[in-house]
Order: sequence, then structure tokens, then C-alpha cells
Amino acid sequence: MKRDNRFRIGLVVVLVIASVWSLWPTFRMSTMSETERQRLAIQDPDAWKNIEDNAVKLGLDLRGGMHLVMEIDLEALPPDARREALDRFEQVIRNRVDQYGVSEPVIQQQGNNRLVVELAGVEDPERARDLVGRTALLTYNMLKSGDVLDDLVQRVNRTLYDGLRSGQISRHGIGLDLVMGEDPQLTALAGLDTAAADSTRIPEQPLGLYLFADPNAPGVLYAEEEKIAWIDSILAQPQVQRLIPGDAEFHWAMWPDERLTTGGRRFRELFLTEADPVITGEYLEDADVTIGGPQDPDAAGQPVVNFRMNAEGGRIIARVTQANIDRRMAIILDGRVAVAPYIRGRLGRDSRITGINEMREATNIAIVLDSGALPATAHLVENRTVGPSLGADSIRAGTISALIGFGLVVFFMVAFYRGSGLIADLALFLNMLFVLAVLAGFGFTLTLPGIAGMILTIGMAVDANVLIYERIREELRAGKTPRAAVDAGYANATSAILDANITTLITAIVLYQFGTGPIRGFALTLSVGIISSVFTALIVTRLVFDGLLSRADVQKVSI
Amino acid sequence: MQLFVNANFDFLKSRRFAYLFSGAMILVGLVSLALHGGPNYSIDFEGGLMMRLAFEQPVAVGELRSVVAQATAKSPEVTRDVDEEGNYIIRIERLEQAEGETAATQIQQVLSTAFPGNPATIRSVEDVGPKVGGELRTKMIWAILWALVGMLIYISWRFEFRFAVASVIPLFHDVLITLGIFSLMNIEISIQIVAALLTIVGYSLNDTIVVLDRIREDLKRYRQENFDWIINRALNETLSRTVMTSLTTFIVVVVLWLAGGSVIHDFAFALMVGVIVGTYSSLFVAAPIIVEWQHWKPLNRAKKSRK
Repeated sequence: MKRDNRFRIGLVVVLVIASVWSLWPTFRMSTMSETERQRLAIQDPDAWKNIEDNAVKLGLDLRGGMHLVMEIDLEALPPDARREALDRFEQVIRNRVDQYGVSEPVIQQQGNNRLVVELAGVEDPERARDLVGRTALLTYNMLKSGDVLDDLVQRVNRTLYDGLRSGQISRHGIGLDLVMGEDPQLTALAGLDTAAADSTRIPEQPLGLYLFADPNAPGVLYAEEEKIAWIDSILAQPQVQRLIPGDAEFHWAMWPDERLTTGGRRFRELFLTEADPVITGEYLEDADVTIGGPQDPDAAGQPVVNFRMNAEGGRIIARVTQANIDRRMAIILDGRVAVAPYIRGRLGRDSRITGINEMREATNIAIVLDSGALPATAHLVENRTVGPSLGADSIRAGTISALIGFGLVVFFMVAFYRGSGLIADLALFLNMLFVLAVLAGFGFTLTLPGIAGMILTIGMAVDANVLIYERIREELRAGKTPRAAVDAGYANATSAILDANITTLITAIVLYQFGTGPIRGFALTLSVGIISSVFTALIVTRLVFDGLLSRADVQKVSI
Repeated sequence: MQLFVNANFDFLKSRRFAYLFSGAMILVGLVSLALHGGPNYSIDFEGGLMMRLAFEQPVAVGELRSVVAQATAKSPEVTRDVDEEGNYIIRIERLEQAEGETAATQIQQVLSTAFPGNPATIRSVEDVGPKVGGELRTKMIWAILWALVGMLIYISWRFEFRFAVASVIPLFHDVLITLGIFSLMNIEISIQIVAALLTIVGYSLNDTIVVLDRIREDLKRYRQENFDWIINRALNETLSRTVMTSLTTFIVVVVLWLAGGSVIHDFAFALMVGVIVGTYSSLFVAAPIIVEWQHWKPLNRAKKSRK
């Protein structure tokens, strides 16, 4: 029986190429050192992002991090206000998480009253306390004038420059080398760290490298998202802290500014405000969003955020706004500026914010305004935190187990089935390749139970081949020619292979449906492993046998 | 190398002994479960606090226990972790969270004063509220039920109904025995263990189905032969494969148990037990059920008398 295998060969080749292609970023990632990663991230952010996005993602149990579930008590609220309360709570938490600078935090609502927060790389128990335990603080602070800000920035730049020249401040100490894309280890090695004489390498306006003034909006600076952490570290330097007037504070915007976004780079505004608030959120009664009518002089057809103060709040806001017409007032939640509108006239109990472009932005502002007085209390109902050391231990232990397990199974297959065992080992190798490629290609997360699932797959994946081989041996014993025995072996083993694996697959799918976090990782690798082991056994090893037995004079099969 | 060439063991002859053995195992497990007041649920299902700690210098388990007990006014369970010297696992009831403070911080403070000069790092914290635990338990029960229903439907469709029964009874057998062993060894039932149990179910079924598939085939091939003889032949024909697959799976699971680290130690152990019990049950429980069914079914009397 001659089979036309061209399609199958093509399929296998395409799958292998696709798998290697899908795993390439993971390979790059795992072979780079931490320094190389940081350098690439600064020198070629797009290339780095590409690698980071496409490499296999590690679960919190492997890279360390916190998985928190918070529940808010909504019993006291009327049912129609609960949804909104949860949204507000989410906004408050989002804002706080944003300030940690965690990469890709997961924040999502669960059911009617829960919020799941996943923070990779964070393991400080204080964080959990900080996130959920603190009450939201909403304040209204006047912006400092543009002159004060310009003057301050000038002085900071001068202090930094002088400090760098005299060697009192080191380039490495303030992270200047890193942020400018230099390799800190090389810099240190070359002794450049303290080389004050190397004045060409000292920018005249260190802060001005990445923090820009907006000519259209005096009193506001802005910086690219990636540089925020560095600017914060500069502002926290004692020499810089001394320069900031006691009645002033820096506050970042809560969201990146859509209007400043250019070419995929996102920028965020930095405000200098009065330290003392003019009024706090506790006077606020309600905020909502409407669309300005056609006759509205300021906001025809545009979203408007309306807010209402209580009587005392109305009196305070009237007094404050009267005295500050044409200045800007920042509305700050937990240290981040949600919006900083110009005061265009004296306000009363009912005020509104116009000049907002998007409905989504308006809704967010209204949520922030409302969150000043969170009516419900929240508490932590689940906290699973894995420290980085345990995560690293788990990765190491998992990898070692996988390698030993793989090696032993490979050995056993050759010991029992000789040449055919090698073919099964090839299938096993492809199996692992496919499982990892699917994880990387579809953006699934690899967890420790996921690694266990792969290891279990190593043991079970050979099952399909064992079934086939035992069958071939039987046929050979019955006196068939190698060619006929292989054909019969595959034909007779197929139904058992399919039935056995489909039932295991059912279990794995159910586990995926009902499981949480890490367990889903297990169910996932197991499912993919089962599917690919059936594929490799029925298609790949068959192709190899066909190729080997294609000569007419084959007398013997090594099995 | 070949394991069994033309194997011809009489599996069915020893089935009475197997019933006795299985029954005894299940009974011991059930007695242990009864004495312990049900399965020993982990904090995943009960709610509670579990911490993995690493001390720089090893400390006495008893001392650690009494320190934590004294500070929290609860009765903690302290065990040595499997991976390294100086690593411990503390399990305790959930602490009332005093004004925004998390339980882990509380315990860490206590430890730093009780063991000065021997700092402890927290390797992991799992703090689960009782409500969340209860919900998870319900979810897991549904998962197990759905898995069983799904498999029953599939097998009934692919095989006959009696085959479905013959493949599902061993599953209960396997899970009961594993639960019993866990109860005897006082290992907690966590989400991971439930996942392992479901995997055992899948594995055991996988094994059983290969045997059933062969029985189905042989029933067609040897129409003239005695029913028991056919079943026994099918078992022998698949014996090499059964042993070989169990062996490779068992090897990797043992490796995982020995080298996989603290987090999946119990998980790997459950799989180890499962592979053994699952293999045993396909040979000595599943096939005999079909034989008994055949013997007891009055309609089949006529066929049987043909021998």
C-alpha cells in the first residue's frame, strides 16, 4: 500500500516552523541577562516590547507576585447603586495600583462585589494593606503658577548639573546612565561613574532630558510613561526635595493624556499644586455625566461632568473660586490628578466641568469625584502571595524534574523499543515543542502546575506510541511482513488511542472550566499535550515509519 | 527488550482476592476518614492562613509553634518544608485583621522579636476567607460531577452501557483509596490535590479504556470462545502496554515528587498513588466487573451455557 504523504509532510513542516517561530522570543528572553534586557528596553523599546509580549508568560506562582481578592460590603446600599459603587472602588484601586509602577497589573471585577487584583513581582505585605485598607482621599488643590514651576525646574536642573560636575551626585546614583540607555556595569567598570571631569557626558538640564514644559499650558509639565519612575526618583533625591517649597507638591495625572500621544508613545502630565487643599471630597454629594445641549455655549454636544456639593461645601467653593478666577484647580484622588479645570467664574453648590473630549474620560472623572466618599468598606478575602525566591525555586525544580523525567523516558523507550523507541522520542520532543509553542503563541500563562502538566504529558504522551508498538510486535509475531505489521499496528491501535485520550481530554477541559489560576495552567498544558501527543503518534511517527519502510526490500523493523 | 511475550496470567482467577484487597483498602480509608471527621481540607476550602517561611538558621518546630500560638492565641500547625533546611510551613486559622493590617505582617513581626538574629523571609502567603473557601468547595464538587458525567456519556456512546459502568466504578475505587491514603497520612486536600484526583480519574480511565477497547475487539474476533477466556486474553494482550505506560508515567511522577519542590510535592504524591491504584484497578476491578455482569445477567445465561 503506497500512501501519498505530501500533505502530511507539509503539515508537520509548517507546524514545526510555526512552533519555532512562536518560541523565538521566549528563547531570546531566556538567554538575555537582566542588564541586556534593561538596555534593550531603553535602546529599542519596540523590539523589547515585541519580545516581552510574545515570550511565554509566567504565572504569579513562578515569577512571584500577589493575587488579591477584595470584597466590598454593598448590603447597606440600594441595589441600583451597587454596580456604581463597585466601579468606583475599582477606580480607586486602579489609581493606587498605577502608582506602584507594576507592569501589566490585572484588575477585574468578579461577581457583584469582588475585585481581583494581580500584581506581578510585588510581594510586600504592606502593599495589600495599603491597597485595601486605606480610605480614598479626594482633595481639590489650586495649581501653582507657571512662574513658580519654571523657577523650580530651573533650580532643580542647576542643582543636579552642579552636583554632577562636582561629583557630589553620581550619574549612576541617580540612574542617569540607565535612563540614557547606557550599561551601568560597563560605566562602573570604566570608572566613568565618578569621572566628574567628563563634563560632555553631563547634560546641562538633567531633568529637562525627559520632562518637558507645555508652552500652551503654563504650570504643567509632561513626560513619557516609561520615564515616570525615573523622574519620581529624581524628585525624591534629598537635594531636590530641599528645593521644593513647603507649600507645594508634585502630582502626576491619573491617566496618560490622549492629546499628547504621538506615534504610540504615551505621555502624562505632572502638576505642581498647593500643598493645602482648598476643599476635600467629603463635601461632595454626587457627580454625574451629561451631554451639553445644542445651545450650550461651552459644551454643545460634548460630555459634561456635573457635581453637587452639600450646603457647606457650596459656601467654601464659592469663596475659593471667587478669589481664583482663571487659575486651575486640580482634583486629586490618592495623590493623582484626575482633572485640573480652569475656574471660569464663581461656583456654587452645583458646578460642572466642560472641555472634555471623550465620554469615557468624563465617566472616569465622575467616578473619581464620587469615590471621595466611598460609602462601602472593603476587605481582603483572599491573598496569595509568592515571593520571588520561592518562584525561582519552583522554576528550577520544575525544569530539573522535566529534564530528568524527559531523559529517563527517552532512555526507557530506546531500551524497550530500540530504533522505534528513537522515533517515539522524536515524537516526544515535538510534543514538548508544540505545547510550549501553543503557550507562547496564544499568550497563555505557564504556572507551576502547568509545568507538572507538561511533565505528566511526557509520561503519558508515549502511551500512544506504546500502544502502536505493542500492536506492531503482535502482528510481527503473527508472521506479518514489517510493512504489513506497521500498517496493521497503526490501524488497530487508532481507536484505543482516540478513546483513551478523548476521555482524558474531557477531564482536562472540565478542570479548565472550574479551576482557578494555577490549576487552569495544569489543565491547559495537559489538554494541549494530549492533543499534540495524538497528533505526533498518529501522523509524525507514521511518516517516519513510512519513510523507512518505503524501500521494497525491508526485512526487519527495529522494535 | 520485551516485557511480556505471549503473557498468559489468569487475572480473573485472582479477582476474588482483588475484591478482598480493594475492599480492605477502601474500608481502612473510610475508617480513617470517619475518625478524622471527613477529609482534611486545606485552607483553599476551609479558609485560613498558610505561610512558607525560610529561616536563616533552622529552628525547633515546637518552639516555632509555641511562639506563633502564643502571639496569635490560635493553635497553628507547623511542619518542616520538604525542600531545604530552615524552611517551614505554618498553617493557622485566619486572623482577625486588625485595622488594615494583614496577617502575614503580624506574624512576621512576632517572629522577628522571638528569633532575633535569625531573620525569617516569607516565601509565600496564602490567606483565604472562609466564604471564598466554601465557594471553591462547591465549585470543585461540580467540576468532579461534570467530569464524570462527560466521561460516562462519551463511553456509553463509544462502547456499551455496561462498559461505561465498568469503567466508572473503578474511578470511585481509585479516588476512595487515594483519599483514604491521604487521610491516613494526614495530607491536606487542597485545590491542587483535587486537580490531581481528577487527573487520576482521567488516567485510570485511559488505562481502563485501552483494556475495554481490546475486549470489544476480541469479543468480535473470538465469537466461539468462552466469555471469561476472552476477557482474560484481552488483559494479557494489553499487559505489556499497561505496564509500559504506567512505568513511564510513574517514573516522571516520582521525579516530580523527588525534585519538583515544596509547592507540588503533595500533588506529585497524589499522582504517584493514583498511577499505581489506577493501573491496578483497570486490571483487577474494571474487567472483573464486566465478567460479573455477564454471569449475573439472566439474559446472558443462554450464551454462557454454550461453553
